[in-house]
Parts: sequence; C-alpha cells; structure tokens
Amino acid sequence: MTTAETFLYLSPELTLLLVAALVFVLDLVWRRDPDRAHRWLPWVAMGGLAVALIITVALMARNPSAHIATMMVIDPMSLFFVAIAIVGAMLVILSALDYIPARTPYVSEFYALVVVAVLAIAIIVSANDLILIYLGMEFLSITSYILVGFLKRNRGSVEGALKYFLYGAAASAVMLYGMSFLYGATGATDLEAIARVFSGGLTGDLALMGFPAIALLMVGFGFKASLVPFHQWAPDAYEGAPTPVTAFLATASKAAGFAIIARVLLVGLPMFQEKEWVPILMGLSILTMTLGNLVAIQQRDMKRLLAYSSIAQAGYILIGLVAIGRDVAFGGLSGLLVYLFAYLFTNIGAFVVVIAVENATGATDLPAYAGLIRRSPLLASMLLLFLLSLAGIPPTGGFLGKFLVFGAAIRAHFLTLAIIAIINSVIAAFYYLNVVRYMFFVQPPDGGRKAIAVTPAIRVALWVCAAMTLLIGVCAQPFVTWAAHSASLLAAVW
Amino acid sequence: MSEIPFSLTWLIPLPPLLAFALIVLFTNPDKKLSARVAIFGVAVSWVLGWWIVLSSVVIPHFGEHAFRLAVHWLPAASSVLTVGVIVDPVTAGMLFMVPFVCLMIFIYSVGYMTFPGHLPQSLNVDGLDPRYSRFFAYISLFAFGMLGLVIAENLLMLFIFWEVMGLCSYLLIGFWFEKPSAYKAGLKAFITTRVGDTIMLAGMVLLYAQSGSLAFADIFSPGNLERLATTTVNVPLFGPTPWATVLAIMIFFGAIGKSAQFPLHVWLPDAMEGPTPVSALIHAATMVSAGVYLMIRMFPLVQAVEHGPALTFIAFIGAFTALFAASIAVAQNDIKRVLAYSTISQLGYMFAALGIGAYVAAVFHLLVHSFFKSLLFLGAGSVIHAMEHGHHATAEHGDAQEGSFDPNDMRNMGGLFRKMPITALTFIAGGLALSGFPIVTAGFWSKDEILADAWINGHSIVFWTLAFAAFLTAFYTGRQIFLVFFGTPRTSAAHHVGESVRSMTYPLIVLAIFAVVGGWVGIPEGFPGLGHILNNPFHHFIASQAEALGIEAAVLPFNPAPVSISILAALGGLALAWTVYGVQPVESRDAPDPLERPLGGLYRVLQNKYYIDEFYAATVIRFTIWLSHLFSRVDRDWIIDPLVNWVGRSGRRLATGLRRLVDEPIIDGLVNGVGSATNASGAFLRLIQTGRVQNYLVVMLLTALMLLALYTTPGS
Amino acid sequence: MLHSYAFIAIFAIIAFGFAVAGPAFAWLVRPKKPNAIKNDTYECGIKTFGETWVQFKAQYYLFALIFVVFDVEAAFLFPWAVAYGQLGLYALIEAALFILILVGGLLYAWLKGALEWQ
Repeated sequence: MTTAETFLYLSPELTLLLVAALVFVLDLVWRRDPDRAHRWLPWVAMGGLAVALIITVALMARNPSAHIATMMVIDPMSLFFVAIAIVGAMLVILSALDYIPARTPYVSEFYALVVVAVLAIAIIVSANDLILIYLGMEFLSITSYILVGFLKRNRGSVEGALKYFLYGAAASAVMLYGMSFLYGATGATDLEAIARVFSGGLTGDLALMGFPAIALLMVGFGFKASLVPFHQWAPDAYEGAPTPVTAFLATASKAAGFAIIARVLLVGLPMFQEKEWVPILMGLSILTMTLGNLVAIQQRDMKRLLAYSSIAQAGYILIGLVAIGRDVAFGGLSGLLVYLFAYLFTNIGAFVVVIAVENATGATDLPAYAGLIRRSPLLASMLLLFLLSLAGIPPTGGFLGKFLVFGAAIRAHFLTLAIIAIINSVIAAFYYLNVVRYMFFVQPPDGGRKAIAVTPAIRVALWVCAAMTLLIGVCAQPFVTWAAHSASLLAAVW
Repeated sequence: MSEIPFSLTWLIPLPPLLAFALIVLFTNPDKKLSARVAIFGVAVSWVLGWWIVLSSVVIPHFGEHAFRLAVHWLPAASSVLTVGVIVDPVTAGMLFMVPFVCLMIFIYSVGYMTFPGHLPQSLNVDGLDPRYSRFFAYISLFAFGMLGLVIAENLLMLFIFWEVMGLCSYLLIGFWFEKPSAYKAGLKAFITTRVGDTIMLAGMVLLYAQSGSLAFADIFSPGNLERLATTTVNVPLFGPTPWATVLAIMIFFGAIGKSAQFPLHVWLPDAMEGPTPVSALIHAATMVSAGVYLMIRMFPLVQAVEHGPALTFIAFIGAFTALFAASIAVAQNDIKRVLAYSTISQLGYMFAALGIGAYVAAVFHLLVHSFFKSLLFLGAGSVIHAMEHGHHATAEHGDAQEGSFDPNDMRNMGGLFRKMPITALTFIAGGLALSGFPIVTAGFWSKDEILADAWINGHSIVFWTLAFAAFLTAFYTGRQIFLVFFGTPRTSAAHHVGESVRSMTYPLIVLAIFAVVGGWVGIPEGFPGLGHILNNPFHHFIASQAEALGIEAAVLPFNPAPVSISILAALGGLALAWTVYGVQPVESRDAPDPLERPLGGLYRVLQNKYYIDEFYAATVIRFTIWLSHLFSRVDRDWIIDPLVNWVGRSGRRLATGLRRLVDEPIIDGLVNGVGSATNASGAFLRLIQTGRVQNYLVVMLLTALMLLALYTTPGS
Repeated sequence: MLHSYAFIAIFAIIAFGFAVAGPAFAWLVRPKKPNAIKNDTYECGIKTFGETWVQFKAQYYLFALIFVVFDVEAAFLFPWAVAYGQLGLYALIEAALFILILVGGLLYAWLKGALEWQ
C-alpha cells in the first residue's frame, strides 16, 4: 500500500486528531475571551466530527479491506463503528451545550476530550494487533476517566471517575495478562498471525492456551462493554458522570467494547469458538441481562436505572456474538450491528431527556418525572418512544434489534438462551413502563404547573434520536442490508 | 399508466397521524387550533385520495393492472415481511368514501363538541368540551388507522391498522368517561371485538403457515388458492374440511366482531354512548364497514371452494343479522340506537350479498351506506344537540319538566321540522335512502342490486329474508322521521330547539347530496329508461377487479320481479309508518307506543333486543365469572398461588440480595459517608479508601479465577 | 525455555538484594543510642506537628505529572542518542517531532496556568 493510500484510509482518524488539536489550540488562543471560546468551540468540534463522518461514509462506499502495517484493518465493520462513535459524539455534544457550562468553568476541554474519545474508539475498532488494541483501550479509558470526573467540584463525578479508574486499571492489567498468554503461545501479536499459528493444529500446549487467554481477555473487554460481573464500575460512574458523558459511555464506548470482542474472537481465535468462547459469552450474556434487569427494577434514580438497563442491553447484544451464524443477512453479527445502531439513538435519546429534566429541575430521581406529560409533553412523549424502543416494542429500532438477535439465536439453536432473553425482555418492560407510569399517571408534587423549557440544541438532538429510532424500525430493510454488508467481510474471514 | 399519484398512495394516512402528533405534542392547549390542525390533516388526505381515485377511474380495466408497491421490512426466517400499499378498484372506492366522510365529520365536530351536559356547568370555561383537543387527536389517529387499512398491501398491516382503530374506538366510546355507562360501553366494545379478533389472528397465523406469506398478491395467486382449496384439515365434528374454508371462516370472525354481526353485535348499540360524530364516523361509516371491507378483500379465499360452506355461513349470518337487527330497531326509542341497529342490519345486507357472491353489489352498498348512514347519524347528532340546548333554555326559564331528561329519547321530540328545517330535510333525505325510496335515492339502487342478485341466482331464502328486512327498514325509518320531525313538540325542550350552527349543517347538506346522487353511478344497465344514461360505470370499474381475481361478476339481466318487490317493500314500510305514526301523531311523551297494543308480547321482546344481553349475562358472563372464581380458588388455595408466591419471594430475595451485595455498600456508604463528613475532601478520600472499589476488584478477579478454575476442572 | 526465565529470576533477586543490602548493612554497623529527639520524625530539622496522614496539595501532583513528560522524553531519547549514528536524518526528524509534541503539551499546560503555584 502506498503512503497516499495509507493516509486516505487513516483520514477519519487524522481528521479527528486534527480537530481535537484545533479545539485545544483555539481554546488557548481565545483564553482571554472565554465567552467566544464557549460559543464557538462546540461548533468547531461538531463541524470537525461532521467532516470525519462524511469521510467515513465516503470510505464506506469504497468498500475497503485495507491493512495498515498489520496494525490496523480498515473494513466496512470498523467504519460502521467509527460512524456510530462519531454520530454518538455529535449527539452528546449537542446535548451538553447547556449542561456543561452550567456546571463547570472548564468547557472547551470537554469538547476536545469527546473528540479524542472518538479518536480512541476509531483506533480500537480497527485495531488488528494486540498491542494496538491495548493502547487503544488505554487511550479510550484514560479519556473516559477524565470525562467522568469532569465536574471536579462535584463529589459524585470525582468519585465515579476514581472508581472507574481503579477498576479500569486492574481490568486492563488482567487483559494484558491474557494477551501475554496469546503472545507466549504464538509468538505473534497480530491477530491474523495468531490465527495462522492456531489453525496449524490445536495440539498439546496450544490447545490449552485458548480458554485461559479468552477468559482473561474478556475481563478487559467485558469491562469496556460493562458485562456482568465486570460491570460494577458502571452504575457508579454512570451516576456520577456528567449525564452527556454517561450517554457516551453507555453507547459509543460500549459499542467499541463489542467491536473489539467481535474482532479478536472472530479474526484471532475462530478455532476456539465451539468449546471456549461461545460458552463463556453465553454465560456472560445470561448473567448480564438477568442481573441488569433484576437490579434495575429496584432503582429509583433515572440515571442509575438507565445504567442498569444499559447493562442488561449489553446482555442482549452479546447474544448476537453467541449466535454468530453463517447466514450473513440474518446472522447474529449483523443483528448485533443493527442492535447497536438502534440502541445508539434510543439510549442517547433517553439520556437527552434526562439531561433536559436535570437542567430544569436539577434532579434525576424518578419522582422528578412525575406528571412530565403535563410539564413537557415533548419530553414525555419522546421518553415514551425511547423506552418503548428499549423495551423492544415495534415499530421501533429497538424491536428490530431484538428481533434480529433473538431470531439469530433461535436459528442457531440456542433456544434456552433465546427464551431467557425473552423472559428478560418482559421483566425489563416492567421497569420501563414504571417510568411511563410516573410520567403519565403520577401527580407531580407541585401540581405540575411549571413547564419545562427545552433548548433548541436539545430539541434537535431529541428529534434526531426519535426520527432515527422510528426510521430504523419502520424502514428496516436498508439498515439490515447495511449491517449485513458491514458484517460480511468479517464473517467471510471467519 | 401514470405512476405519479399511485406512488404517493402511502402518503395518504400520514397527514392525520402527523396531526395527531402535533395536537398531542404542541397545539393541545389551543382548542380551535387543534381542530384546525386535524381538519387540515384529513383534508390533505382527502385531496390525495380523490386525486388517486380520479386517476384510477379513467384507466380502462383498472382492476387488471392494479398498483402495488411493497418494500421489504423485516427478514423473517424463510421469507421477507413486506410493507406496502395497493390501489385497486375496491381501494379506490374506499378512498373515495373514507377521507371525504372523515372530512365532513371532522368539520361537523367543530360545532358539535360543545360543553357536554353531563358535566357540572362550573367547569365550563369557553363553551367547548374540556377535552376538545384530545377529541380531535383521537379522531385523527382513527383516520390514520382507517386510511392505512384500506391501502394496506398485506393482511398483517391490515390487522395492525385494524387494531389501531379498535383502540381509537375504545377511547372514543368512553370519551366522556365521567359517565359510567360510557366507560363501560367502551370496555364492552373492546372486549367483544377482541373475541372476534383473537379468532381472526389465529386464522392469520394459520394462513401464514399454509401459504408462507400474508401479502394479498401471494395469498390470491391461483396456485396458492388451488392448494388451499384442495388440501384439507380435520376439523372436529365436521371431518376433513378444505383449508380455504377453515381460514375464511376464522377470518370472518374478525369481521363479525368489527362489523357487529350476530352474535357479537351487542357492543355497537352501547357504543352510542360516545359523542355522535364518533358514532357517525366509527360506528356507521368507516370502522364497522372495515369488517365488510376485509371480507371483500379476502373474497377470493372465501370462494376458493365454490359454493362452499364459507359462503353459506357468511350469507346466513348476514341475512339473519339483517332481519334480526331491523326487527329490534322497530321498537327502540333512543334516536341513536335505532340507527345503531339499522347499521347492524345494513352491514348484514352486505355480508349476505358477499355470501351469495354478489361482489360488486356488496362494495356498492358498503360505499352508499356509509354516506347516508353518516348523514343520518350527524342529523341525529344535530337533533340531540338542539334538544340539549332546548333543555338548558327551558331550565333557565324555570319551566323544566321534572325527572331526568334524555335528549336522545324520540318520545321527548316531535314537530322539529319547522324548528330545524335543514337538519330535518337532510335527515329525511338520508332516511329515504336508507329505506330504499325508489329511483331517486342511492339506497334504492344499492339495495336493489343485492336483491336482484339474490333473485336471479336463485337464493330465495336470502332474498325473502332481505326483502322482509327491507320492509322493516322502511318502517322503522318512517317511524323515526314521524316521531322526531312531525306532529307537535311533546316536551318544552322540544319547543325551544333551534337550527344548529353552520359547521354542522353544511356537512349535512353535502352528505345529503351524496346520499341521493351517489347511487346513480350504479344504476343497472338493463333498467328501463335510466340504465343507458350512465351505463353503470361503477359495476364495470369494480368488476374489472373481480375478473382479475377470478370472481364471477357478470352484468345481470334486468328482471322486473325483484325490483317491484323491493319498491313494494320500501313504499309499503313507509306507508305503514305513516298510517301508524303520521296520521295520528303521538301526543305526549308518556303515551304508549302505537305498536305496543297490536304486537303485544313481541313488542317487549323487541324492545329488550331479544334479551340477548341478558342471555349473555346469564350464560357466558356468568360462566366466565364462575370459571374465574374456580381459577382464583385453584390459584389461592392450591397450586398456583403458593408457586407464584414462592417465585415472587425468591425473585425479590434474589433482587434484594443482589442489591445488598452489590449496591447497598456503595449507596449506603456514600450516603453515610456524606452525612458524617466534616472535612469534605477528607471524608471523600476516606470513603474511597475504606472503599468499595476493592470489592469490585475482588469480584472481577474472582470471576477470572473462577473461569480458570472451571477450565482446569476435569471433564470440562 | 526455563533457563531464560531463570535469568529474569536471578536479575530480580539481585535487584531486590541491592535495595535491601544497603539499609541492612547500615542497620548492622550503626551505633544504637536512641533518645526522644532521635526517634522523632525527621522534618527538615523543624519540630513536627499534627498527623502524618495529611493531604498533599494537588499542585504537587500536577508538577509531578509535568515532570513525567520530561521523564518519558529522557527515557526515549537516551536509546535514540546511543543509536543515533546508525539512524540518520529520518530518525532526527522523528525525534524532533516527538520533542515538539511534548513541548506542545508543556506549552499547553503552561498557558493553562498549570505551572503557577496557587
């Protein structure tokens, strides 16, 4: 590959890097004029992200399968996740426009850090080498720690960040240990080289390496994707973090976790599927959705409820990897992609409503949502839509995701898993509808005469999320095709 | 054929949906604006709909190249579920009627939905219903459901819209939920129709299993129909039956529920508790006729087995209901209930027509009936509205009669012709159409076509049943007209009525015109004198579809016998009504009905609707309650309850355990820590350090170790 | 395979031994005449007060973090300098870029006021 091509394929990452640098520099240039910085920097970041998104989509049209020095692979799937991260970051920035300046004087860094986090995700999702995977994960983690602790005068924020940091450090250490197993067994860090060594025949020591390596790797990956039992940081960090950051962690960052799980297992360790990683993932999936849902029932704080809900959702998403299936159009992998894509808009949308309510009332507990339909019909009906989508009720995107993932599980003969998942969806509907009950049927304590003002930026973010949530559910075919296409190369490798 | 208007078909249901969203989200505080949004939404649908109708009628043999647009929606395991639209002559006919009638009724509602009489006047702020905006939101959502239903390309979509309408119907019947009767009627409608829907859904699932698709185009492909007609299934009691028959009858049950046919008709009269525009829109013109529409759509399946039991069953239910409901209508005193039974009876006509294979006549009667029946309901609404106002006026003057006043009761009316001439004239026009007044009215032509079809094809039982029902129809319509509009006012309220506002009377006038001329497009070609003026364009239009689907729809030769009988029945019924109620008008509201003496016990039976409700209460409902008691006994004392309790308890224990194990250390720790803090950062650091993070890490590492231990355990 | 790990083990033992040996030897040979003043915590010759578990000002950490920048720089540049003869112009530019990035970071911290003692 020529240098020009390398630059071409790296252009989304390079754009993100430049945008982040530009935001940092402009922040310095305008340091005597913070008002101007606060006014313009978010739009610089948004513009840069938009450019990166356009480049990503344009690259997608080229349908590439490009290796960059065995370290990175730019293929439709990695671009799919880059697009998810960029879109997520744009929505997060929109929703943070009023949230962050109202809470801390350090505003510009926030936008820069969000862009940096997207860059980290872009690296992770295309990483094809254990070293780069580790570096990318650390990069994303460190950025996320700062973002979680961004409100440094706020006790919850700092506490969440510290817990997240300590947990993340330990998790990545364990993951690194797992990586050392693989390196020790194969002498390679490149995923494809690892696969080549293993496919030479799983004899003797080599065969013994698979399970412990996967188990240890899953600690680190499961930490990113917040799978039970590696989820414990999540409720604290989600609750303490500034809500836009929570939205980012629960969607884009989580998606990166799934991307890396898929790539490492499918590209690097396909021969360990049957006996090793399918049982591990299946166990994690069942644990994740069951525990997430059961604990979510008990929550009385909206942010914490959504935190546990997104843990449970991770359990459903994981089914897509268990039931990977060879049928590209209706396989688990494309189901997983559709699920993540729909979940991106649905979950960010739900958090945007939380942000709007928090901006107006300062509270995130469930009673703050009592009678929301009267105080803000827009917010209430939007949240209703997002909750219905989270619960998987047609014609929303959440339904499509569940339909494809569960369907793939049934086709791949994981009937028990599918039944457990369906039972879990029913449990989940209970606590989602409980929120609906609060919004529509519980009298607000103050009579609910005080309307909640919704700023234009939040409005835009809400409408985008709602439109996409519905669009994915109503006009499913193009999204399914796109996901199937994105999954096809990886599935072909496998 | 030009693609332009047809490719826009999918847009038709959207404006009302958009209006619904706009009203719910934004405009609901402004009642007038909400009404305007709703009317604008349905007006856009109307323009689009008529554009498509006009584009399709100019295409010769339109039925053979009907428009179909389907996109893939969901990949199911072996096939793909589609969403899409279809425009063929039947859809075009519905698109002519539905948005237009909706628009008229929406406009009418602007004037009708004033402050209701059953609420305390102290709540009256602006003279409008407190839930005015909500009303328009609901009827917009309903219009979305109905318009979506008529253009649906497959049975699944049709069913979804069907249920949307069911929901709206429930919400609107119980719209004035302060009245317990309204709330109960809504529930009754919902549950009764659900009985039919459940059987229909089962039928749909079986149909999908048998033909692998729910798209009409796939179901009605000749090969598939042939297979359904020849493969049999063993039905208990009936032996081997072709699948087509079983499926047609199961789907017909959905129609029985929705179109209020015997024995699931009981909900419709009670549904009159809803606001009158709702009765006109949902319970006369559109939703109830959706059942007929469904059977018209599914007709190729129904007649896949020629002269099969499905056809006979439908004809029997239809004809029986037509006569049965008409006879009840004779003895009702509530102006809307008479019309409700009349609707049931007329829907029975349509099913009977389908059952004898008169496909075109069924479509024709469906469309024509919608116009004149919505007109009658709106006219009745105008009367009721005026009566309420008259009652208020008398109450203010202090000479109100004692006791509760029912503005719906025809015995309280009389002599309204001079007080509200527009309402009276339009109502009479509708009434004549309903009774099939010869030559002029639309109802004559559509009813005549059904009767002629029955006569010529030798369905003599159906013919005589329907002819007798036609006689009764003319009689109760005449009775209603004479009781309401002629004679002298029987109450002081009736003295004080006045003509309704223009937003109510204009739709009446427009609909009255359609109730008369609407039938002229379907005058049989063989009819002496008139037949060759227009050449029966309606028949040719619909028949082109019938032929494309392989349904017999030849032009029938003219036969004077059924026409004369039909004219005789209509005029005879009206004449009899005139002799009983017109010559000697009922003088006071407490006087017995002139029919009471000659009919004797039969009158009481009719008045009590053959005691069907009581029969259900004594049998089905009592049995259900007994069963539920039995189950609750089983539940409480024997097996299920202990089991549920156990599951519930362990579930809660599990959840609490998890919470205690996982969450409480953090939350409580945080809360306690914060509470006892004196030195903020010190406490915070200590909190982290006494902290629970190490618990997390321990869990994480233990899991990793457990996984490894699992791996080294022998046998894994 | 084993003996290559043995080297690491031996290395670890020796490294540990070095760390322990010095203080241990001092402890062995020093005269032991304790008194109250000698047992007190040494704090720049000033008499100690308060608890030892005090909070350090966050500013110290900030300085330490910025110091890490130079630390990393040195760790990287040292092998680079040793091999400079064989690397040529390409490596020089790479190193210059590397230093520029670090300088950029330092500049950012400086302009942000991280070096001001508050």
